[in-house]
Amino acid sequence: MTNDDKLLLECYSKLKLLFNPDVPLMKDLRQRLEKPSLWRKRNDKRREEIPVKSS
Amino acid sequence: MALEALEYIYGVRPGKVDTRTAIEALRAALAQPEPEPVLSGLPMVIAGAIFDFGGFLTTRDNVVEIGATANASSMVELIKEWAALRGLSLDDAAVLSWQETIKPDYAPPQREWQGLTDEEFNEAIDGLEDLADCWMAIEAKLKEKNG
Repeated sequence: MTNDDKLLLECYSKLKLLFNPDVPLMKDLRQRLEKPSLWRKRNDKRREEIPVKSS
Repeated sequence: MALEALEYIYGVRPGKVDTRTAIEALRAALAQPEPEPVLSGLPMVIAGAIFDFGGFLTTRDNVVEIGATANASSMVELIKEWAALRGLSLDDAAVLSWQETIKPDYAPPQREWQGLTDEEFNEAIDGLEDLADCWMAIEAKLKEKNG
């Protein structure tokens, strides 16, 4: 497990103490921990949808 | 990771924080070409030490024979003398492994992960209510502890 994984895992476990695990951001975090490749695919799609400001 | 977090937050909370500007700045920084490698850090120190040792050898009054047929102890004595002069400890010298540590892709052994104590956790989220804010505060605190 890399330090990035440990960071994410601890963030999730701490946030779980404060927030409902069913809210979208918590679900997203859980998916990122449990199914990183699926999460990455979704996130790449989401990233493409963010508009880039034209200069 | 920071870019991904910002992109996600932008997706669920557009306009909540100025994530769009931050995303564009990070994207621009990541798009920059890698700078040309220059001698720095440990390789620079090692190169300097080698030249320094060579210079030290040229100041000796006596001639020392070095080679496969010569006794190695005179070279060991010279190294010890130079190290003592420079205040350098030769204990546990990485004679075989030093070449690995100067390779560009060398990853030093990771330090043991330091989690947050209850006190640090409470301090990090003090006054925060928003999930994204708490996430960023916890992440920042963990990064601070773990480099």
